[in-house]
Amino acid sequence: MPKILMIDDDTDFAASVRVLFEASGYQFHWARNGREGLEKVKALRPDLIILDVMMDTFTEGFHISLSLRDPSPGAEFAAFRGIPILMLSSVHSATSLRFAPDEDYLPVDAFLDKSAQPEELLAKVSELLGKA
Amino acid sequence: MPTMEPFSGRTMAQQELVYSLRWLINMRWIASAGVVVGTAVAARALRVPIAELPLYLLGLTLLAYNLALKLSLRWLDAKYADVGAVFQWFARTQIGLDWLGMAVLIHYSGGVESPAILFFLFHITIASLLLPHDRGFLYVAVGPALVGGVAVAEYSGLLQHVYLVPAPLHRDRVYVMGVLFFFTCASYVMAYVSMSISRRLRRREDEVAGLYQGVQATLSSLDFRTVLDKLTEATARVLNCKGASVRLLDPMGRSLEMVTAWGLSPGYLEKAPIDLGKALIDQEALSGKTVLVTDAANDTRLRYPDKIRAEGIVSILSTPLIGKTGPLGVLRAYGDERHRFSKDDAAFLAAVASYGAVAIENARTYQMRLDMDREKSLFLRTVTHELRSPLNAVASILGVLRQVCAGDLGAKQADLVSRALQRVNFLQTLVDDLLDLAAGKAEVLNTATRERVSLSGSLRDACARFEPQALGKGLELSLFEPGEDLTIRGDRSELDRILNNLLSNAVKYTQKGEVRVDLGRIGQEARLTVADTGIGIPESAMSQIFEEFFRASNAKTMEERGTGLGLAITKDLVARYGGTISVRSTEGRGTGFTLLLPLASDQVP
Repeated sequence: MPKILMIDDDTDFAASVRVLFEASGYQFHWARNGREGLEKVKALRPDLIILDVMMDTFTEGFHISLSLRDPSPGAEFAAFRGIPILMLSSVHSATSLRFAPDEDYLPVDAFLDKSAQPEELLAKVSELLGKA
Repeated sequence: MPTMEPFSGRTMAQQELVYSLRWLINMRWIASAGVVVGTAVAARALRVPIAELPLYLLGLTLLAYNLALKLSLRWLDAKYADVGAVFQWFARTQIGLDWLGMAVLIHYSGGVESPAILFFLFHITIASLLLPHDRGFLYVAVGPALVGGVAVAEYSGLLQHVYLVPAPLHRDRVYVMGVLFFFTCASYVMAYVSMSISRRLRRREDEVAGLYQGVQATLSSLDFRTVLDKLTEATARVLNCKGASVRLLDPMGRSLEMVTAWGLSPGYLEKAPIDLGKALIDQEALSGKTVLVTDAANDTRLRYPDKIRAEGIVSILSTPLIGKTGPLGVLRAYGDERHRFSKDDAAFLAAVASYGAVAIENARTYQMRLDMDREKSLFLRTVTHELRSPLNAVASILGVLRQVCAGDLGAKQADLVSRALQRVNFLQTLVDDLLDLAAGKAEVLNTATRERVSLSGSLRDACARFEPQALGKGLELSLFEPGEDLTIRGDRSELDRILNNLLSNAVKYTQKGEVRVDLGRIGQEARLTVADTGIGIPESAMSQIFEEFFRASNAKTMEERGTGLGLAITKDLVARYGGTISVRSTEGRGTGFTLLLPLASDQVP
């Protein structure tokens, strides 16, 4: 059963997604902030990580993904670099994505708007898991 | 102090020298003509027994070498951008030749009797003005020496005296000594007067040039820190003193803080603001006058005499910085000797302070504007997040309920969940649109984002985004592009908003047929048309189609909900980009929106 770890500070959103994923046959784990999330990555070794962009600070999601995908040789999460990351944004779904601070390099595998329908979320997740 | 003239790269003083040399050459035409004509008049009309022939020859020689000098100067001016030793040497040559010529003239027009001796004073003056002052008085000695030489030569019989008067005055010792003595005195007096005047003028010139350069530097920036740094640097350079500092008043006007200093060690800069009551010198200055301190270490009005002594500050000049809104602070100049600053310097510092205050106020206003913009942006981002989060959570919960728990819910419950979800989705769209509208109306001074954006690229991306939706409805979405890539100046996300709105409307309000997108170029503008075969816009609604929250009657009957904000936002954005948007439509047949946007300037051939 594939393990999904979601890092998001919105408990209600997480609760709804839990129902969705468990009904679809996934094992769902949740962390409410970056620190907890990164610990769980190490402990659980999930098959997919879902990150929220804005948590405590406006760009916390990015910093988590940058830590996970840190390319330098002795990086803490080097062993977990291969885990696909799906980023959920609260940005307007119709506009092109604009983020600060680093627009050039965004170490995630896919973006999805948080307001996407559940079907879209499931589709994206199975697409990413299929590729891994 | 060297200051650059804008065009030639020479300092003002250097350019002055070249002008003076040119002027001298021009004067010499007149002088040479004068020699010839004067000789003719004196010899023929007045029948004075001067040596005609030699004098005519002298005149012609003058004309000849003046021509040579003119051509040489032209050549030198063209060849050498930097007016340096070459031009000085050239000046000396001219003057030297003139003086020799004068000596010859004097000899042939009567020696010690010659009235032409007086003309020599003219040359002394010119030399004093043109040549460097450090050895000025040495050069001046050459004049009397030459005249003296002629007199001695004639006296001793080496040279043949030309008699203006029958008496042999040239052999009269008293007469000769007398003439030489008075001539020498007159030469030195002329030289001294000329040099004093020219020294003062040159100093003024330097000060004005320095002031000009200082103004340029200070006013060239709107960045607060840069303005302060350049102001203190300009002050110290212009006054040619040890250093300068700026202290600014806090908003309440109760304390002064040293915000920048030039030429002082970091240790001297005070860390904390000083209470105005304790800053006696500055208090005095702020009352409107410039304050001079001549013995800083022992002045009771100043604190920390040890620090002052250690820094080597002996005199201080303090002047208020008065802005349009009131006193801003104090500008100080520091000197390393007691009588470093004169009244002129005080007046000068006041002049520097007046433009400095203007620059500081401008920079502050600009900074405030930038801060306000940053706050606005931050506020918008926070509001966006705060509004969207709960909506996303609710939509997700309802969506999951509908999808996953369909089995557990009865038909009635499922229906209610569906309705709630629909309304929440609409609310999400409405919030998005309102935030777009708010962002547009906030009119942030986004100078940084007025970058070049590829209209062609953004359009291609937008079409790709809507293709699935169009295909899903059985519509054909086609894009026709010009041969070149069109670029506009603006913000990428704003452009996307415009394009998305137009395409979204076209696809949304078309049930069958096609959406056709045409991009082209007309002169300096890009022309974009989005045409559909949709429900069209009724005649009655055409005038209101761009209004906020307006939805035409036939749009409202459609299943898909709209907020009525899309076109209002689009129109707003287009207007800010300096473009226009227009619409043609036939109800039931279709609609076409035409957008004209100015192209980025370097796009234009």
